[in-house]
Amino acid sequence: MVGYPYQGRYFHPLVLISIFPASAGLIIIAEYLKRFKIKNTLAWLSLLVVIICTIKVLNPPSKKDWLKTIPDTIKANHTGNGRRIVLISSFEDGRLPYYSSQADFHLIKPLMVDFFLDANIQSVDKNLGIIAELKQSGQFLINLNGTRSQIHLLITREVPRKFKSLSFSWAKSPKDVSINVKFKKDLASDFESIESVRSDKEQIVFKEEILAKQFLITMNFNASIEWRLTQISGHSFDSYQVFSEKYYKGSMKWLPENFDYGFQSLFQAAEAWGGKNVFILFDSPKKEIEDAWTARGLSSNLKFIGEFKTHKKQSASLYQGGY
Amino acid sequence: MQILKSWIEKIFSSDYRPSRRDLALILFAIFAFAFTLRLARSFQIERIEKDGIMYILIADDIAKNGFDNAFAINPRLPPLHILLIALGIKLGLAQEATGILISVLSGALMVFPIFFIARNLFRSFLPCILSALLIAVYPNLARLGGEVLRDPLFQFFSFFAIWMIMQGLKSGKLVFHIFAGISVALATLTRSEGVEVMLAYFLFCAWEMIFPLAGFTVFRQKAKRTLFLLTVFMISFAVTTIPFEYTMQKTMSEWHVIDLRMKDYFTPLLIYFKIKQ
Repeated sequence: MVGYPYQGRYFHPLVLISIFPASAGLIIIAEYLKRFKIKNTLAWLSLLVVIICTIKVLNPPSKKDWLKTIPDTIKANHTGNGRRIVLISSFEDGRLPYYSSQADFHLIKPLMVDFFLDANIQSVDKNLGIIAELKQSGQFLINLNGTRSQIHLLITREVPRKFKSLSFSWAKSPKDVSINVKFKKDLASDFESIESVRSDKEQIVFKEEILAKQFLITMNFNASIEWRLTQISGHSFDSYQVFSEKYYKGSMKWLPENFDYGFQSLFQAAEAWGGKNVFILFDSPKKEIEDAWTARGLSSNLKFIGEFKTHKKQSASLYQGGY
Repeated sequence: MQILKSWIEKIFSSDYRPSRRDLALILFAIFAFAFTLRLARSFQIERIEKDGIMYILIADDIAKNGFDNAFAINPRLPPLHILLIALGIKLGLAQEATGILISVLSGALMVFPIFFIARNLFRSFLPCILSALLIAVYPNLARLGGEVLRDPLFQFFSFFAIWMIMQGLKSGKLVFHIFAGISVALATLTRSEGVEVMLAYFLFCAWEMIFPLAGFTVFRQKAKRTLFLLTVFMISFAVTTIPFEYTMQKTMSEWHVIDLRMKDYFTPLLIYFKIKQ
């Protein structure tokens, strides 16, 4: 009865089933306690359990005050001349916009995450079926493990401009690895072999000029490999992009807005969507953000509102647009 | 005070056999306690769980704009819990209050199926009443019982189904099998995992057929009866779920009675055999 074991509450059916032996166990413990000449042991024991559980119910372990404080602060500072609040946030938590008067919600994401989710990895060895598993650990790393197969990695989007190069490396170095890369001329065409790359070395690097294309990598290998995408230059601030939830291929997906990358994308979004009704919530402390602005010689159109801590002690800095 | 003391002594004595009236009173008291505890917890909550917001937004969209685009936020979500919230919104209740009320009520109602399942497991009355009491106060269940989540509703339908299955196989009465089919269907309409309760039903049926161990004639008679009951169960399941399946196909929902992701459970096996070859 248990689904995918991602959250504690998915194990509740097991808890519910264990209630039956637990109740029998309570009677056995009460019988044992009778040795100490206590009257009504089971009644007292049950009362003790009820009291402890009631206290636990009414005193939950983590109070997420930031989910109240931040929306309250946004509402208090909202002077957008009746315009709907727009919240652009690094935290993907639907409660932040919902409690900020059902604000229009957008996300700040380093583009790489979405870039990888959009990558289509498949085995083309028909006899073997699906053997590739895509794992995403950390923002810029994928591990792809399999044996005896040919793998296609289809990159269906442009690689962000701020990433000077894209490289794949593999942990082991089997001798018979070969890589072929085919690039797409334009969106309409099929994959054409514009440029083909072969490498028997442990790493292959694609330079900036070829990254703004869709491309297909075919890799033949005969051992477990690890592919690693390496960010050659730039901070994750520089890969920031504003995402909006839009209907795409049958469901709502976070898709990038047509702004620039980095902080510029946020400044542009604040201007485009109104001004003082736009709030931006970063997952970094004020000092780190403003130092980064200074280092990049940027002049911000945002006003600092406040710094908060999440229940996981992560800093969150709130800014307002229109300045 | 003296009356209360004598009552407690009476209930907690090992040979206590309550009258129907006393049993109803005891169960109602536990239900009332479970309900109050969950309600008290819900009053403490200033911000509901993240998933709850998603259910509320979909339900609100259904109530205001109809079904057409509502499930686009998460097309795989089963419809029942969301539809109940949408119904509450249509009736003029507040969004969060409706969701919380569904959880509080279904969470508190859990004491009944748990008690009656325990009645089938234990001879004595005492562990049954303790099981119901533990369900009423178990901290994590009670906490989530005050949230806008579909877990309490799913758990209630699942365990109600198990109770009905047990009663049905014990008494052989058709009505319990019909209710079992309906409640498994309602559990499936709340969470996709609900369909797994059917596995419990099949196991119970297999047990019923095999374990008299009294020769082929008895087995054949048992098998005929069990297969008939199984058919009734499946029909009541289908009658409850098919209208939802049919209606949801016309929306942006990608939900099905049998979750298509279930094939993923078998992927590791397939990989193993393919590689073996």
